[in-house]
Amino acid sequence: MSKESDMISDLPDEMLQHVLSFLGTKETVQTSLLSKRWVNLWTSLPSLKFIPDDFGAVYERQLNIREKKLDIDEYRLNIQEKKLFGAYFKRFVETVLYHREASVLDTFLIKFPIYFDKDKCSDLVRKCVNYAMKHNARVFSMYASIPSEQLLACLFNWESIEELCLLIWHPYMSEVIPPVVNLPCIRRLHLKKIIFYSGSISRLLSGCPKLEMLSLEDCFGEFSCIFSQNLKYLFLRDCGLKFPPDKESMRITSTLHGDTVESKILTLSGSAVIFILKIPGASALNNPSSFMQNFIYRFELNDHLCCLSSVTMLNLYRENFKMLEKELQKLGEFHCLKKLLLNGWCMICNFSPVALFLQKSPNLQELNLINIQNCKGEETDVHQMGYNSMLLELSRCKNLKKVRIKLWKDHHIRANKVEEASLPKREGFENIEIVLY
Amino acid sequence: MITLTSSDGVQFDVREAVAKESQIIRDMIQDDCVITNIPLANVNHKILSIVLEYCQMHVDKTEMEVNASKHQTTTGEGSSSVPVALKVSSNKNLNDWDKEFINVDLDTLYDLILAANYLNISGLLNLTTQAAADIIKGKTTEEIRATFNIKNDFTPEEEAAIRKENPWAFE
Repeated sequence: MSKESDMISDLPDEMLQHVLSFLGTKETVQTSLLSKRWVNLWTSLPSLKFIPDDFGAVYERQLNIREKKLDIDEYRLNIQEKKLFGAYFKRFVETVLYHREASVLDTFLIKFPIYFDKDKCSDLVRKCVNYAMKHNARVFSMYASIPSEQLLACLFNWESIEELCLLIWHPYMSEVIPPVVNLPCIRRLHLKKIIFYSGSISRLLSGCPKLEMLSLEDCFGEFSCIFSQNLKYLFLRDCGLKFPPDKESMRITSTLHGDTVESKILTLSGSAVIFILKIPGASALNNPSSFMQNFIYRFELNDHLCCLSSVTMLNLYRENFKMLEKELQKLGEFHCLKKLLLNGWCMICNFSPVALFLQKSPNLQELNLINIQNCKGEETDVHQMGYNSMLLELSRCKNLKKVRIKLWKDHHIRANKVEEASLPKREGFENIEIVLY
Repeated sequence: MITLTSSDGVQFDVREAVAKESQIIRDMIQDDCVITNIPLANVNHKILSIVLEYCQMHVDKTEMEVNASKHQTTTGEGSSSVPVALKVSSNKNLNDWDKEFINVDLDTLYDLILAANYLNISGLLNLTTQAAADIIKGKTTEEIRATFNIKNDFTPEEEAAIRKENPWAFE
């Protein structure tokens, strides 16, 4: 090919459209100006994306906004600007839909600017849903205010849809899941900011027989009743049990992926417990007394630890928890625990909780201690005893292969002691690493 | 081993797994299991060798992962987080490798898109078309024309008419 010839336009339509599918909708429309070859290519793209960020440049010029990058930042805009932006967005979507040829539609994705006028939004939401349904979209994704009841009934009875993504701006107090759900082809479902009332989740899932992936973000409700025949992946992100959340309530983040369940419990004050359970994914989902039911009702840390007897990895963070010593003494063994991470909270210059954990985890392979803080006052005999018992347990822990301790500098004398006293000279022990900071 | 012959008659001996990265070859082998020589009428030797480099790398990486996870399960000692970490790091390497790999001139990119489509290698098709899209991204119409040597065959009136039809897109 000589340097003079066109290096892209001779590609078949299908491949040029593949290239265009990676661009924003506005950029694809702009390619119509390149040459006659390109003039109608954008009108028959299999996917439609409407993302307000596409308009950054227009807004900038219109509003003389100096900042280079304009996010959907509703706080920085005044009422008039919001109106103008909203009008642009509406016009853009409507024109594209009008010009688009009625070819195959695979994906329809729309993210309404959050400053969008609510009434206008519901009108446009209706238009988009109707358009996508009429053209049998396979994937539909929408970020908007809550659709009307009538529209929700349509959305949740969409026979051809395979992937549905419904992200709501603000939590909506009323029931969102309609009385009848029929999504016979759906394989992936994402929902955000939805409150599930009694029975909603079961009703939803019974209408999705082929569901393989469920992702709930910032949702509230009863999640322990998630059972579904074909579900392989489950993601709960920042989901809570009570709405509105009060001081006591906590959020959970839990993912089930393949054969591993990873969970994080976050209280409002920001404390976190992370643990990984190795259980067959399918049995966790289909078993009513699943791991979620076990811990979801209970907020006390020691209760969590009780039902975590089969975890393989446990991370405990932050200082908000009370000293664990007493609770730990009541606990059974962590038979499966292989990796343990303890943040400084449980051992402000007292290592006896570590010793207890070591005692109760006969199969532990890796121990991580971080952010160990110094005593504010004098060291007492109690502290010395705790420290000594940790050293003792370290040498007793037969399967331990790796120890990593992060200490404040002042702890260096102790660090040396750990190294000398507890480094078991036995096979399989890889290393003990001490980091001072 | 399978022999692939390029449009200009150059033969490449590759492992079956590597050739099978191409959906069209996979189908051929499945239909007729004694097939050992496949002529590829639409790909010359220069492009075919680049395509095969891609396939080889992706097969090697996948096999490495499978072996690593096998190792994990046979020893039974691995903690649950290790395979995940391993996968992530190798994916990251592969992405870096892809990025480096696709850094080619536009003529080659054009031929690679055609070859990926003809041989039906979805990973390579995505990689090449994404690369073309990345070149277009953020450029003005004039800049795109100049980059790809696209000849503007509109009369000024026609161009004005298009701008007028969708003014919102060109604001």
